[in-house]
Amino acid sequence: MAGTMSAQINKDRIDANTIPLSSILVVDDEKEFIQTLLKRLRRRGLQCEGVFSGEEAISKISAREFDVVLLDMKLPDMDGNSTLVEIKKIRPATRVIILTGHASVNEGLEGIKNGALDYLMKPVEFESLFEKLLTAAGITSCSQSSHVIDTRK
Amino acid sequence: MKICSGTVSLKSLEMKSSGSYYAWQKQLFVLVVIVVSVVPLIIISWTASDYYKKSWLQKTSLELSGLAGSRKEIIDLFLNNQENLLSGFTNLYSLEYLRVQRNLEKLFRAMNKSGVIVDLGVIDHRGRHLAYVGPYKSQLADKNYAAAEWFGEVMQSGRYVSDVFSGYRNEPHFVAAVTDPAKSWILRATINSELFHSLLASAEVGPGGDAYIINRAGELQTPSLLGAKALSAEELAMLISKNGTAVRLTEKYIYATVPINKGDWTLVLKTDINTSLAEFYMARKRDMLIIAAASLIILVVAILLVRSMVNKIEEADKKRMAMNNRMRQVEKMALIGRLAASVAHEINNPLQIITTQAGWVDELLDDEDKKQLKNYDEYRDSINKIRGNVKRAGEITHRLLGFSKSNGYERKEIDLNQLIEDTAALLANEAKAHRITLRYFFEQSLMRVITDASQLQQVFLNILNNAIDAIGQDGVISISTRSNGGHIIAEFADSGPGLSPDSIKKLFDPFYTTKSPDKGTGLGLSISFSIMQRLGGDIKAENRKEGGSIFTVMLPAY
Repeated sequence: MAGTMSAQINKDRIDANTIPLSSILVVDDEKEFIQTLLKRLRRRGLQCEGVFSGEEAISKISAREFDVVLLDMKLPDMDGNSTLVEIKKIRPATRVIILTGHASVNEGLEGIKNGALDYLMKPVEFESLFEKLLTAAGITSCSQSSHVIDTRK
Repeated sequence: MKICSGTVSLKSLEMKSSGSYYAWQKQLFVLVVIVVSVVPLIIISWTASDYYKKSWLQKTSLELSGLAGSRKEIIDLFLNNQENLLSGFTNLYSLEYLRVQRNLEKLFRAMNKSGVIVDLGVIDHRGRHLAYVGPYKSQLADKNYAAAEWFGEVMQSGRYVSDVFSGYRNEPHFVAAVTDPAKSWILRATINSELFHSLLASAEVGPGGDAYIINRAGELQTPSLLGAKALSAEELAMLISKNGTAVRLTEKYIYATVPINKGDWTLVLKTDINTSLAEFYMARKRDMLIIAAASLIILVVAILLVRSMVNKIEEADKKRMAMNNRMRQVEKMALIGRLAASVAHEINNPLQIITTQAGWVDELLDDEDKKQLKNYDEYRDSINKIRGNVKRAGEITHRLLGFSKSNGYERKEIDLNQLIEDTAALLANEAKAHRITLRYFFEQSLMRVITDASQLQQVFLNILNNAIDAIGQDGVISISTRSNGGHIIAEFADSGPGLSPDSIKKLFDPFYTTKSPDKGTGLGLSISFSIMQRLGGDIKAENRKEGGSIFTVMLPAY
C-alpha cells in the first residue's frame, strides 16, 4: 500500500500550496549525491542547501536556522556524531536525521542518544528519504501527504 | 597475525587427531608399563630363583658331606674295632694256643657274637694256613697265602684291611688281618660283607642317590645301592683324581667323598640333583605361576588404564581442537566483519548516488512528451531495473554490515517457544507450498531468556529457510526446546539429505552456499553465527543418525 502511494508522490509534483516552505540542510561529502538530491528536493518544493563538510555545516547553522539537517556520518573533516553534538549545542531545536553508509545500529543509537531524530542507511530510496524529511519538518506524514494528493486529484 | 599462529597449532593438532596416533600412543604406554613393571618382576624372579637354586644346592651339598663325615666315623670305628679285636687276641694268645682248632673256634664264637665276621684263620709267617674256622674250610685248608697281596701288606705294617677280592673262595670279600707283636704269625678275619654294607645302605641319600666305597683304583668295594657294577669312566676320572674330603657338583649329581680306612678307600655319597631339588622346582613352578598371573593382571590393568587414559586425552584433544576451530571461526568472523563493514560502506555511497541519479532521471522523464521520445518506455524500464538492482545490492551490503553490529542490541525477556512459533509462522505458507510439516516439541516450563528477540528471530529464520531449501519437497522439520544446565537449547531437525563433510566444515563461512546464486548469498548462517556469538550463545550443525541435519542453538539462561 505504502509503496504504491509513494510511487504516486513521485509522479505528481507537489507544489508550495500543499507543502509549506521548509528549510533543509544536507551535509554529505559526496558532491554528486548532494547536487542531485538538492535538485530533486527543490523540485518537490522544499527549500534546501547543501554543504560538504562538518565545519561548513556548523557555520551554516550558526548563521541561520534550518528545520531539518540530513547529516552523513562520514565527513572529511570531522565525524558525524561530533558534528551532531556541535549542531545540537548551537541550535538544540534543530531536527537531525542521520544518513549512514555504515548500517551499524550502534552508530545510529549513538546518534539518537546525541539527539538525532532518526537514522537512515545508504542506499536509501529517495521516497523514503523524502518522507522522513517531511515528517521531521513536521509538515505531514507519508500517508497524510498522499491523502492530500489523492483528494486534490 | 593471531589467525596465523592459530593455524600452526591447529595443524599439529590435526596431525594428532588421526586415530593411528592414539593407537600408537596406547601401544607405547602399554609397552612402557610392561618394561617398567613386568620385566623387573621377571628379572627379580629369575635371579631369585637362581640364587635359591644355588643355596639349595649348597645346603644339599653340606648335608651330603655331613652325612659322609658321620658315615666315615661309623665305618672307621667298625674297621678299627675289628682290627683292635684281632690285635688284642694276638697279644693275648700264643700261636700254639690258636693253632688248636677248638681254641680258635672259641675265639671265633666270642668275636662273632654280633655276626661281624664270616671266618677266622691263623697263618704262619710263610703264608701257610695253620687253622681255620668258617664256612670255606674245604676251599681254604692248606692254602698258602704267601703270594696274596694282603699277606705282604700285613707282614710289613702289622695290621691291614684288604680291598675286596675273590681269593681262593671265589667270592668277593675283604679281610682284616693283624700279626702278633713279633710279626711271626697272622690272625685273619673275613668281615661280614652284608653287615658292612648295611652301614652304607642306611645312609639317607634320597631317591636316585647312591652310597659306595671305592679303593684307590676306583674299584667298588661295596655294591652300589643303585646296582651299578662299576663306576662310569666319567665318575672314575672325577673321583680318583681327587680323593679326600670333597664335594663335587656335576650336571645331574652332587658327590660327597671322604677318605676312610686310613685313606685306602674313599666313601662316596651321591645324590641326584633333580630329586633333591624337586621341592625347589615345585616352589619355583608356583612362583612362576604367581608371576605369570601378576604379569597378566598388570598387563590387563595397564591396557585398561592406558586405554581409558588415552581415550580421555583423545577426547580432550578433540574438545580443544573443536574449541580452537570455534575460536578460529570467531576470529575469522571478526576479521570478515571488519572487512565487510568497510567494503559495504564504500559501496553504499556509490549505490546511493546511482539510485539518486536514476530516480532523478525518472523524475525528469515526467517532463518529457511521451510521443516525442521514441524509447520512453524502455527508459522507464531501464531506470526501474537500475533502482531494483541498487536495492538488491543495498540488501547485500546491509547483510554484510550485519557482521559488525558489535554491541548494540536489545535485552528483553522473551519466551523462546513463542518466538520460535512466531518465526515459524512467517514461513508457514512456504512450508505448506513445499508440503513440509512443522512439528514442535516444546518444553513448557522453559526458563526465560533475556536476549535480543529480533536478532534471534533472524537466526531462526535463517535456519528454517535453509531447512526448507534442504528438504525441497515433502518432509518434516522438528523443532524442540529444552533447558540444559545453565543453557536453553533449541534444536531444528530436518528430514533433508543432511550436510556433506565439506558443508559441515564451511557452513558458517561467509559466502559459502550450496544454493544457486539467485537464491542465497551464503551470508545467512555466517551472520547467524555472529549473532549467536554476540548474544553469548552458540550455534552448531550436525548430521542426524536417522538422516537429515540438526541445527542446535544454545543460549545462556538468566
